[in-house]
Amino acid sequence: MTRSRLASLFALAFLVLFCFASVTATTTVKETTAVIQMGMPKLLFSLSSASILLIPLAACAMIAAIIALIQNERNVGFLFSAIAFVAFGLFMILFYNENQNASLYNALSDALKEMGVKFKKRDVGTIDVTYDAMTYLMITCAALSSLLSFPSVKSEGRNLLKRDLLPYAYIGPHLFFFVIFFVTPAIYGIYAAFTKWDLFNEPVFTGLENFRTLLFDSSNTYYKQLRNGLWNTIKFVLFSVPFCIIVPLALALALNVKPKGNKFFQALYYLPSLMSISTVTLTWRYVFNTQYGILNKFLGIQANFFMPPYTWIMLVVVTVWWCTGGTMVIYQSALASVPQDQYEAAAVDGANAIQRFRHVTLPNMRYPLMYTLITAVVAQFNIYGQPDILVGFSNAEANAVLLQYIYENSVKKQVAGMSSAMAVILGLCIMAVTFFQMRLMVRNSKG
Amino acid sequence: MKKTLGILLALVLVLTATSAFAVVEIDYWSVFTGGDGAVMQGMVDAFNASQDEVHVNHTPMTADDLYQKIPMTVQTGTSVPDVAIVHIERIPNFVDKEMLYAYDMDLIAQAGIVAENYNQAAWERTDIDGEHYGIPLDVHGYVTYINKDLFDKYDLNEFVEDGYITFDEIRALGDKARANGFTGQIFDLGWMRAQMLGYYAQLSPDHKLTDNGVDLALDEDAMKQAMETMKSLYEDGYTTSKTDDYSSMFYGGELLVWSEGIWMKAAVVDAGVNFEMYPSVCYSPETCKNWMSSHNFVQFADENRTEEEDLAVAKFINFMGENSLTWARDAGQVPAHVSLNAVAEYSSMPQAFLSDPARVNELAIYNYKYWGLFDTAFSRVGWDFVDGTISIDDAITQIEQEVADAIAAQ
Repeated sequence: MTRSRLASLFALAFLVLFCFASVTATTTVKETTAVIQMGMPKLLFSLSSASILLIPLAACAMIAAIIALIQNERNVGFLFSAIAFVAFGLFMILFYNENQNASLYNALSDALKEMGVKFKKRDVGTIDVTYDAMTYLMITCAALSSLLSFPSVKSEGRNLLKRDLLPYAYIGPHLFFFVIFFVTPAIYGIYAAFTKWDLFNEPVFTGLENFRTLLFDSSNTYYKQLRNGLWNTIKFVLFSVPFCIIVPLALALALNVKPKGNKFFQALYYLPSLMSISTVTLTWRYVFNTQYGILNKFLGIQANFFMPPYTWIMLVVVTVWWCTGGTMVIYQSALASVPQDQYEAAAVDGANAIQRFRHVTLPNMRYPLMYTLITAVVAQFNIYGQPDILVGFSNAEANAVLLQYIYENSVKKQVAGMSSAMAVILGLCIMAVTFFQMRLMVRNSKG
Repeated sequence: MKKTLGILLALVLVLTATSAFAVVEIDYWSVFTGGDGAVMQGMVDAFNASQDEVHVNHTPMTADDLYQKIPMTVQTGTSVPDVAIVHIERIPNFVDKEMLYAYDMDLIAQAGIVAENYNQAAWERTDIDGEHYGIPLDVHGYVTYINKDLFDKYDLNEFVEDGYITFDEIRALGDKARANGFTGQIFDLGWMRAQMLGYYAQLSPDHKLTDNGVDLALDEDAMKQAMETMKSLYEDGYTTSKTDDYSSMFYGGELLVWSEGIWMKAAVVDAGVNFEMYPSVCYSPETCKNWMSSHNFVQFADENRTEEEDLAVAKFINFMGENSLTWARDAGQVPAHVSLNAVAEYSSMPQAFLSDPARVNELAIYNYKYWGLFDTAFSRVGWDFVDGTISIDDAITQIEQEVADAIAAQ
């Protein structure tokens, strides 16, 4: 058996052992000692400590190591198994010194109550943590996997090492933050969707109960909120996306004829994209103000843009103003790359401006248009800042979008399990729409 | 050798001196961010300047932010403040989740804190299961401001002669003001939840929110009547609309009667408005009640906090109570420390009627364990029932259903 294969077996053993490893926690309150044992998988999903975030990092790295080692990429395998070793080792040290893990505290607290001990939280002193043999075997497996895949130090090997590992050195920092701040929260978020959780106590696994409530319990508040929020979100996507495509396209076309001062106007149109959503919405809030807003003053009307049905107009205007710049730059770049000879040929054939736009410009911009359509749809499905700052939760029936409900339920009302399930459903909807759009794009490119 | 010994001796002396004068550092979080935040910072600075044993680091943030950060902070045991200000209605839920430490009454008594020194309506509400969890800084709530210049100009003073303004008088004074040429608005519908809970308390004498301490059980007839009152005033054109900037309207002389918190007094003074303060608009003077809350000093669970720090916190809280004239004068609040009742300067302040022992029945302080959920649910329908987006019956059902579903899903 090659060293790579052996190393991959140890890496696999690391993952398998994880399912059986556990920690033992001990504390003494009023001369009574409580001891509890908690499995690593349960600890992983207790969402109770920052150091636990290192476990999924180690697991992801070890999976990457296995894939690399199976393909006989020993240098890459070494890199990832070493990351797994360091991450898991760091977790063991940090968690050992933590003393205040909420999940362990809750379990110990239950054990003490069962023993009839009356106590307050401050009576619970240090929580001592010990790891079982499986945990030590895990770190040993990670070490052995790293050692066995350790690269050759011969000169040729050194070059190979440089060739194989340099790309990872470039993407490493991003990968690290991506796993810690995106992959891990996403996994936890999906797990939370299957629990009942108040953000303070340990989540209680409830299976598909949240999804059953959201999809089938028509008398429940969250069933209504999901439907209302999702429908309002879809309405916003339908109202805003066409303008998020057409307005930047029109501006890009106008700038493409290089009018005098076009660079100035390009910078001017791009400027809103650089502002934060808070700045943008607060500025427009004053513009739309019923009593003192310049818009009503300018138009000589008394429209209340903060009340239905005008609210959607305000939200779309603010969104288009904010997102136009970025899309316009993409279109400008695409317009610059349209071959001039096609325009000349069309002109020779007697095509007018509209025909040239339809038969030359648009086909050449197919990919940028599809790309911006997909990104605009995804972005507008995630609408939150504009309605939250401009209209808040008033007229929720008419205006509240799904992310507003998700945020309010999870953070303000601490109904985190249910709102995670809402977020998962929203994510699935976005994935479905994006999948449909991409299929359309692929079919068009073949046609 | 002698030189080395000399250096060692000097080091020991320096270390001893340093430890003898070690300052206890206290982290204090509050929900005061506007004008009252500046006043609170001034009070903290005054405490820090008054002695050299304790130094308080004040971190102000919005109430929403504090209530979002606290569960995470306590759960992780990281950066837990030594003392924090929370609203009294939140305390039962924090106690239920074991997030708060009860005060050690012997220890705080060493700093001068005893129950008798505080407003009993507020103090007793944080006695839970034989322990005490909150020390009130103030009681505060929703009252009514009138623009005195406008009342004089349009000859409306007859409506406030008895010290109360009823809903019938809102209509009557509105009609008279308009007949006399006033073109602005009569009464504001601003923070609906705060206004409504005052009106609800007038119609439901026990202003009950729950029967069993867990489930929301509104007095539906009372709530319905209170909501209908608001809706009819709005429909008949006596109130501001949802997006009206009612505070600017009051400051600009475009609003006659402004329902607002007592904490806005300083802003009204700064705006140069000649004003008078009255109780919440009521159905009749006999049944008048004002929605009130109370800012309380609490200590969140932190096993690393020492007894020395607890004592330092108690000294700080006691100082704030004894020196809360500033809080009354500059932030417009009603201090919970009863020693202020004997201070002439305080008695002459417009909000002093709220600490009149004879009018204690006019204070409606709520104490529902799931106040946060109720607050959110109520705030959501705050305007929807007024402008007809949903019916009043549906609004009440929605509030009750939303709280029940949230409790079940937590």
